[in-house]
Amino acid sequence: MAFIDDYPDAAKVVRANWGVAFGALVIGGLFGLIQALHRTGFFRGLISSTDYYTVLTGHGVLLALVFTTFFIAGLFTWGITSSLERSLPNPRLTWTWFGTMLVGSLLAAVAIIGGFFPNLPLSADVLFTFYPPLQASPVFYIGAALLIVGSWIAGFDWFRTFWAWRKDNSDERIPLQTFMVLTTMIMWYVSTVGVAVEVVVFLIPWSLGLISQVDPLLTRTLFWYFGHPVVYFWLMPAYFVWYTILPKLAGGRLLSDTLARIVFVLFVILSTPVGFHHQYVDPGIPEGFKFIAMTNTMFLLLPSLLTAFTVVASMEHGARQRGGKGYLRWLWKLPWDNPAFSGCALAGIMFAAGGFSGMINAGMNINYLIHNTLWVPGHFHLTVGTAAALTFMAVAYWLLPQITGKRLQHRTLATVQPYVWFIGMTLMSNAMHRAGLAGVPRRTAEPEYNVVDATFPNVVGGMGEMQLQIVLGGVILFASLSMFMTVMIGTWLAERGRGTLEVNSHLPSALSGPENSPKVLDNLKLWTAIAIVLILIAYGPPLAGMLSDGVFTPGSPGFPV
Amino acid sequence: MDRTTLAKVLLVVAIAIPVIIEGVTFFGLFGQHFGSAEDTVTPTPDALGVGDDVLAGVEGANATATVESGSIQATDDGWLFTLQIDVTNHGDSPISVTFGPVRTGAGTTRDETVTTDRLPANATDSVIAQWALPAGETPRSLGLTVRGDSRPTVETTVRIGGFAVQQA
Repeated sequence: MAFIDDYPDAAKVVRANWGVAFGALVIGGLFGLIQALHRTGFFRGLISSTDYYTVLTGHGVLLALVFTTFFIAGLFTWGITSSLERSLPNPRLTWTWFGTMLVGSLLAAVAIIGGFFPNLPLSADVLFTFYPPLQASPVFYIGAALLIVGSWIAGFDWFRTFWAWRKDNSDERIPLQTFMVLTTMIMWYVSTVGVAVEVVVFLIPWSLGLISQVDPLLTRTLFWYFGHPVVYFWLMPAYFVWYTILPKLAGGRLLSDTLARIVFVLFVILSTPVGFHHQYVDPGIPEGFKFIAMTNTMFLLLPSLLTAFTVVASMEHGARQRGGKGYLRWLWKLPWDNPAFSGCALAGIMFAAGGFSGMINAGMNINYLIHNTLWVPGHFHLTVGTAAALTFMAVAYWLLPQITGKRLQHRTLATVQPYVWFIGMTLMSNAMHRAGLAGVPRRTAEPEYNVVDATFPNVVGGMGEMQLQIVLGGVILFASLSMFMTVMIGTWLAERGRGTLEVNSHLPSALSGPENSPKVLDNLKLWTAIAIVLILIAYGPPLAGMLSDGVFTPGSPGFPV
Repeated sequence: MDRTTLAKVLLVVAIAIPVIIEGVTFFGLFGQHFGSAEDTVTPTPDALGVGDDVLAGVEGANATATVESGSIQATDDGWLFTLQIDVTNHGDSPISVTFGPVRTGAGTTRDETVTTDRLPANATDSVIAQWALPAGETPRSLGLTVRGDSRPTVETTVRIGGFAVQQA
């Protein structure tokens, strides 16, 4: 029996969410290809440099917010239903949050695409980091707010399912997948407060003309209060997959349930009081609080390093179950021809590289070297662009047959796709990092390479070689995305009942299960309280300072773009 | 080739590419910092932009020409490149300075020139020069000519760049 047979309503919800996610992925990916071609100067015939910012905003919002949020909503709906072995309690509530998120995403997308049509009163060329003084149409802000509100209702739906389960299972430990969903959503609730206040209190009234000015420092701070934890909203679901599904795909079992829970607790506690590391060059924020943010950010390496250990150990266990031997020879026994496994494993490898470049971003002094350069997009294409996105693609190969009841199609294409993504991202991201070190700026259609080429002593092949790598990587990534979509659409439209599914939702228990982990780890109220205290310490005094001279002052009018 | 072999070949290729790129980069850095003098890359001169004296280092100019502002306005018809340059004659005889032509990175040349007033010794003038460039092309070099009553004419071309492209 597949998941769709046991929980047909939940499977429908997952399919609906993934349908929207994949639509956003295609459009956002196409925008990424156009950007790579335009910025590097290889082909500038599709858009003007003015339209570049519309494309850039669309790429960021559709991929980093819409694709991720809808995919995660589908994944978590499956995770909650499957691990609690019960359906979501109220279909009307479920479709309400889906509808709210969908309407919000459509409004935001329409506002962004309106930027291509100068005669329309819509525009939102404010980039993914949509803080003032760049100003978008109110339609964009209302759409973004609805997307977040919808995700809040989704979280409530999952909590409600858990509370119903808890009534019947008062002495049971929280199932690991449910624990991960709930902790991720607690982190999400805590961190989205910042962007909600920014959008509802400041940006919507400002864009409607109800208030004439906003304080750019305050609103930037509120954005980054959310802007870094959102990274963990993308990564924690990837960890959810790596901890609970990847060991099975490798042929083994998770090493330690306890370590997995500790990692997610650490994310709840540490994800939010770190946002100032995006504002190291901002005036008006005391250096001491930037230092606190740096310290907390460095502590966040701990759960990632724990994950590296636990997940690799679980993979090794699986490989040894399959006959693997030696210190490293066991690696060959892993199922590299299974795209669900290889995608997750390659995403994990690339995330390690992203972690290293993230340390540079987090360092107060060395951050100045790469601040606002192409290094930064190079970094987050490793994290959200691969660790999260490639993991999501990989798990889709495993889960789509279970939510459609249809056998995965185009197996060879699926086998190749994660490697193609990995190669494309290697070329593009590596060159972006190096270009950033050379001082090439981000967020511009005209990066003025001639200036950089004159001042940067070329290490390998110079700026032309980096541009070539970036555009080549971008083209390969789009090819990989097309392969993925071919498999998804082919499977979705395939005839049900042709061939066996070859997959199921059963997940083996951990080698060291929840019975060995302290019960306090399941005390979600305690971790939430500690997270809030840390946030008050990290953000309280600086925010009080910003508000002391007025909520809207010193203020800036909007720069409509 | 079966799928398992294909996957393992791809795995080796996928891992080898970043290892090679990083290896070449890493050893390239070593070569640059610890290699022989012949291996050291000779720094090329910086492109000049806002705040720079475009006549600095020009022999016989005896004048400074500082770029006070520079921008590129993007319009539907093309890109308008604007420079405001302050010129000071440090010599003891009158001169005039001509700016232009401008050449873009794509190789387009705009021959229009702008010339300062005739500047007596120690006098200063400010000129605004504009060139209409094709859309998508940014300036790469600027021609300079210094003419004096009692000295030979100096002609040179300097690298320029780093001007912000703005939506008009």
